[in-house]
Amino acid sequence: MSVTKIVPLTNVGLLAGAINRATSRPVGLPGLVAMYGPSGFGKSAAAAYSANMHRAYYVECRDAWSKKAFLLAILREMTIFPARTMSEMVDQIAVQLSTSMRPLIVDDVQYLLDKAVANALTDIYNASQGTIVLIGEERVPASLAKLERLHNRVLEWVPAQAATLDDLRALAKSSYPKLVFADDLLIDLNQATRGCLRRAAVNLYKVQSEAAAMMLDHVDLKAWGQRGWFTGEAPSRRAR
Amino acid sequence: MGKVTQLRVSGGKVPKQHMWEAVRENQAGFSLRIISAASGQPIAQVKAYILAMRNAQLVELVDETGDVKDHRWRLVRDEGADHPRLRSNGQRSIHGLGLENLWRAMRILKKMTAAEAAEMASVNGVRVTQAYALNYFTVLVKAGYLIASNHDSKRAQTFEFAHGMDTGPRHPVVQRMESIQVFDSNTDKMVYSKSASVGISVASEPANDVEQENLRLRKLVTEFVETSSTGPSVSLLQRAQLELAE
Repeated sequence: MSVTKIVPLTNVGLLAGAINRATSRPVGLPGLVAMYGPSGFGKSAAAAYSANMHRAYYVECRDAWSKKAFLLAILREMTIFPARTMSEMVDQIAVQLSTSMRPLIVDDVQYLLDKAVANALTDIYNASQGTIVLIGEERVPASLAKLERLHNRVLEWVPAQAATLDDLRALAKSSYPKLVFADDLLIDLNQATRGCLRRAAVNLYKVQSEAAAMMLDHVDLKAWGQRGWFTGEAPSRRAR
Repeated sequence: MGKVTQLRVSGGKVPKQHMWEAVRENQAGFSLRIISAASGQPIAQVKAYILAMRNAQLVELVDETGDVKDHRWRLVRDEGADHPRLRSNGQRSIHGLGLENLWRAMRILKKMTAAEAAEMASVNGVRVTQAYALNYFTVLVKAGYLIASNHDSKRAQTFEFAHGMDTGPRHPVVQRMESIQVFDSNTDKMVYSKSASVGISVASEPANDVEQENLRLRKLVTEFVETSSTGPSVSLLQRAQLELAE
């Protein structure tokens, strides 16, 4: 089953706005933007849209990355032939960021922040004074607080917002234009999935296939009945 | 001025990228002749690009003595590793940005429909229609980059990367070939057939005047070698003299 994940939504606008303000900030202000929130809230969709807007460089971190792997990944994104030593690589990245004025987006940054790799991030920021966007899960602000040198260079914190009713309406309309979802159904779904768009998308797909089986073109909570929502929790064992 | 940090672009390069790298390496002072020699591009094209950069206020003329080819220029605004994409009047070109955005969105989101991709790619004056995105993705599916989900009348097709085909930040360029054949069924013969690529020229066709000159000279030299026993003919000698006179 393939479920489409995104439509430009609240979080897309929030991140794009923050990056806009950071790229046009007055001289002397810090240039880090940090977006954080649970998985499935549409952070990557926000990153994709903002990356296109500013022709940003985008890297997605892995847990296993060393400092060198991180630097090489950024240079690969920049299509720059890497220099031999790590300090030269930091120079290359910094020069490219400050001359091209393009932002750097580091996704899944929670993997880096608790390790020595975080210092590479500080080096790059200090040498370039460019705009760097950190995107990660809920614990990113706490991890950043431990790295004082990075923490006080954050210009703007962008907490990813839980999906709103409007977001769900937009998602439903763009995924299944021929089916009408009643508001009470979407409200109930949003409560059950606690604002997680990815789970909502999975459930909309379920509703759509049931509605097709029942030959409905309008579904509300009553028609959906007691079928329940997929919330990612394993089913509880039935009493015998 | 300190040492310039080396920023050489990896992978294949377009001619303007070669010119830009030559300009960056000689940013304190360069002439058309220097850039042409360092980048291996014909003077005429180097001149056009430098003038476009002047119109965009990236370079300035510092010394106007002597021949035009020896005028001294200087880089005033360094834009990093990638060559600035400019029209001849110095305005920024957004040519190719639509495809770049589609490719970038695909690499970030890993999986999406053509409609979503078009929406993600349409920013900052770039317009990408759903049909255009679908067209590009369909070609990429044929080329083995993407895998499309099965057709389903209820929902749009989604596309995702085939394993290991996220080859890097630069988008694959689609080149269309034009081919024409004329067949005569009276004589049962193929009268005419031609295929040529539209867009970037293929390697077998000379791309610029340097390459053309090179081909011409090679032909002359082979003729000389072939006539080594009998001595060169009058017409061959005349043609050789003409080449030298230029």
